Amino acid sequence: MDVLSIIGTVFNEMLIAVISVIAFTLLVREYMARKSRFLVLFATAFAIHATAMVTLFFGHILGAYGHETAATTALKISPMLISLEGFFIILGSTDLLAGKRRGFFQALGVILALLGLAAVIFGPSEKVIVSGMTFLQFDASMLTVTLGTWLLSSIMLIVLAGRRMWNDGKEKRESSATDRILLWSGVLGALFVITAIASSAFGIKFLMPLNFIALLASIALLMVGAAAAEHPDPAIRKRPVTLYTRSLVFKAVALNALILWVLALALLAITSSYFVSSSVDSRHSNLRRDLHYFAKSYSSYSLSLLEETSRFAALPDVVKNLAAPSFDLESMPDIVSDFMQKRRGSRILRVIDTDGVITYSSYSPTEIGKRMLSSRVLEKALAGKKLAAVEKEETFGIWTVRAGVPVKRDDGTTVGVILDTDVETAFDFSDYSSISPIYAAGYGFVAENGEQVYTSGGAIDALMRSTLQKRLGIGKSTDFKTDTALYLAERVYATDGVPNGFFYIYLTNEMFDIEVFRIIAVVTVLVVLSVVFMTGILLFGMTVVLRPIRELRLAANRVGKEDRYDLRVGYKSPDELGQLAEAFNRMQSTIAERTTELKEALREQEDFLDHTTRELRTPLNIFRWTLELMRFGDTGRLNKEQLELLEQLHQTNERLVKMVQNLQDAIKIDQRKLALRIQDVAVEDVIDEVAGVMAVPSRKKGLALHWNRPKVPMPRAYADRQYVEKILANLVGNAVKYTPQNGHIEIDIEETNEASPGGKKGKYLKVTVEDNGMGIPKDQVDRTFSRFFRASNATGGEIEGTGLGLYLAKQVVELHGGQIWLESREGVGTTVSFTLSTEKPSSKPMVAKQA
Amino acid sequence: METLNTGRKTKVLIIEDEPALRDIYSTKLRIDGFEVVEAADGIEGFDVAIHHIPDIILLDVVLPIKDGFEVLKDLKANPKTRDIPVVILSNLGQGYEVKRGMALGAAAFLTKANLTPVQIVEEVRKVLGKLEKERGKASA
Repeated sequence: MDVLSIIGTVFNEMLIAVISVIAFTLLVREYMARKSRFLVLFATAFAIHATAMVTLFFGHILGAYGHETAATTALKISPMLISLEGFFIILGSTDLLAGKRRGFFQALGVILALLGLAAVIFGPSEKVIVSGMTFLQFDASMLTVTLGTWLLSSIMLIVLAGRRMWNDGKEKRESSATDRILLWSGVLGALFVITAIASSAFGIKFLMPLNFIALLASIALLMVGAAAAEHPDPAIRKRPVTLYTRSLVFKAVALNALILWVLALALLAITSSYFVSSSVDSRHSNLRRDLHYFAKSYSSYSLSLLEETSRFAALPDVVKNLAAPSFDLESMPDIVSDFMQKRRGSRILRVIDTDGVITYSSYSPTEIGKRMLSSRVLEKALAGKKLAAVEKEETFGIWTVRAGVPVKRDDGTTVGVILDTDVETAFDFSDYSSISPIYAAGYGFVAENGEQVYTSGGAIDALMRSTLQKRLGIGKSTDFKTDTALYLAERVYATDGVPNGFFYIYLTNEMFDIEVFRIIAVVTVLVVLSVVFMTGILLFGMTVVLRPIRELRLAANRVGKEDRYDLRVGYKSPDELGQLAEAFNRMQSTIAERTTELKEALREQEDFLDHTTRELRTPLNIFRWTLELMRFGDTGRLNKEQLELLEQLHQTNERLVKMVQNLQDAIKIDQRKLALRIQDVAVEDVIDEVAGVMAVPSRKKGLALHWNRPKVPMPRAYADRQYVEKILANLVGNAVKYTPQNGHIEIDIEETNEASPGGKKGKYLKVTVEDNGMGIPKDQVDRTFSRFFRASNATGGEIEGTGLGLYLAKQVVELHGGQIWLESREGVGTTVSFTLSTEKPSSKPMVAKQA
Repeated sequence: METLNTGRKTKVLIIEDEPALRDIYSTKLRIDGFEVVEAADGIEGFDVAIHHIPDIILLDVVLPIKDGFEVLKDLKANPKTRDIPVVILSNLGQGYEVKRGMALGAAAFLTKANLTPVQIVEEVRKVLGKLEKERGKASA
């Protein structure tokens, strides 16, 4: 008995069906969330797969209960569904991966699917029973056609995902994780098809486990890969498993379900072998009992036949008549004819005289006068003894039960013999329900000389007959097991105790297998249903129990994204989650308090800074005017040294004024008080100006400052001219500052359709300042635009700066609705670009950072 | 001899940090009858300008400490020197550089390398002539 292989197959089919249902559910949920068409296509494929598996399973069951046509239909529907499923995978993967060549693949898919269906419907297939399970076996070519869509879908996954990975590789990008997963799913899918053909059509049985594992893994990977493909969350695209690991409920239920499944499998393995052995034992003993009863009933039939015949022979008329020269039954009184009429047509009554010559026959008068051939029953009767036994009836050449009774006069001398034969009823098993074709492969009677007397369902061969005969020589009954079948035999005896022959029943191992399968199938259905039911309850329970986690997560997310420190979690319970919720709420209060305090402190500081910078303006102006008086010679002529010192002082003072202005701008931006005066600005003119200012400093440093002014005027930007100038002065100033001698700086302007590469669409002017200076270290590029940023290679050296310039530039550019970005390589140079809109803005005034 | 309406010689201030060039320009101008004052850098140039009040200034741009544009800015900011025509004489010739000079109020922007001393004197005369015409118009 192949219990484990049956459990393996049945359980696998159920497991794959359940996993397909899970995949279907998850993909449908995913589709609900983001409405991508390929998700529905893959989900449909999984639904079809689950149906195909269930159909296959019920095909086995129908086969096991003898419903041949229904079983064949179910077993044909299953591969048709598999073919259809492959078609849907093709649709899904082309939708996801193929791009423009979608139509070609889909047309190929349609053709293959139709071919596959045709192959199943019209192609030759043969019903086989493996370990008690009915399968439909197709030859290799038919199977290949049936699995054609599957094979194509697998190849397509490999080719399409592989092509994308190849392109990524060529462009030095990291390939996407979902592509890798889909590729592997394709590889395993192809492996499934190949092993299916090899194991089913060519009978390479050891490939079966591999076949199953490949299918399971392929489905699982396809599910993950499809669900994560083009997912809006980049973390999921990077690590698709996150899709499932991010939910505690999912993890808890999955773990429980896994344990349940393992338990179910163990339970199934243990209980079914127990059920199987007890069921097989009881089937065996039922048959043994029935056979015994049958042998008994045969004996009692023989006895009753003998009894009836004896009573007939004892009738005085019969005795009288037999003593006369000719036997005339018709002339006898009514009682005798009544007796005769009661006999059925299968009974033949003969009267034989002491010489063995027939004097009367109810079968035919032509027998009268003929000598009866050798018969043990006749011999015994002639010798004065009654006997009923199985004998060959010469007239018909068949074996029958025959009773022989001597007819005696009062003095005890034998005057003749009555032979009574029943040619039909003796071997009829039909009253015994257990001995039916479902349970017994064949049964019959074998005469003592080894001749097969009666057979139903299939005779046994001579070797088996003699084997059983030998074994029956030891006892009345025997059970005998061979490699292919189990034989039960019971000896029957003539009424004088001489062996007469034996009855037998035999069952093939296949019948036992089918019986085993029937039991396992029932147990499996029950186990699977209960596991699914329990998983459902678990899912529901977990969702309820873990609901506070969801609440906490949502609250924490909103706090993170929206700075909502007033949010509280409503879950109140003494359990761990209740404690967590309480801690969360406490933390929220603390954060809210601290944030208020911090904002207050920050505002005070800003007010102070604002005040200070305002106060600084007057002394700075006094410096400026005093210096001017002295520089312009209004306070008398100074000598050369004094003039030089004065000039240095003047330039320093001007720098200080600019720094204070920047600081004030920064404060205004932080306090959202910076109001722009938007007008249409010819940005080229502003660049002219800024380049002019930077001309001498760059000349002095030996830098080539190129401003590539376009010949044709550019559209005007809507901006605050003063701030555009500040932005530019800062960018060009930085370039001059951070570019060593003999370097060059390029300023370019062009029209563009997006605020930044891949950014918001619209009409923009893009200004680029490029230098081949020292650049910014790679790890610091991201922080360049933050307040007070100064690259590590620029600090501590001879280059001065507050680090406020780029921060201001970014704030101001963004306030204008533009973008600023930067590419830099240390030691190679830096390129800063920013955009300004050339579309007339709505009348709304632009104020820093909309609150 | 180059004179003004008042009858005195026309006074030219050359602000140029290259001594050889300064020499050539002043020699040529003196020969042509101008009175010449010289300055070797921006600071000195501005100092000379406010104390000598020349009739015209030839101004180099790339100068140590205080560059030509700075000098020009200061000249135009000071009422005493505001009306003196300034001819920028420089090797700078990029569009934005010329624009900067003109925006600050230069009367002409000449490129040194392109002009001989003779041509420079002609340019000086041209500027003075134009100025006189404008002044005549204004007083008339």
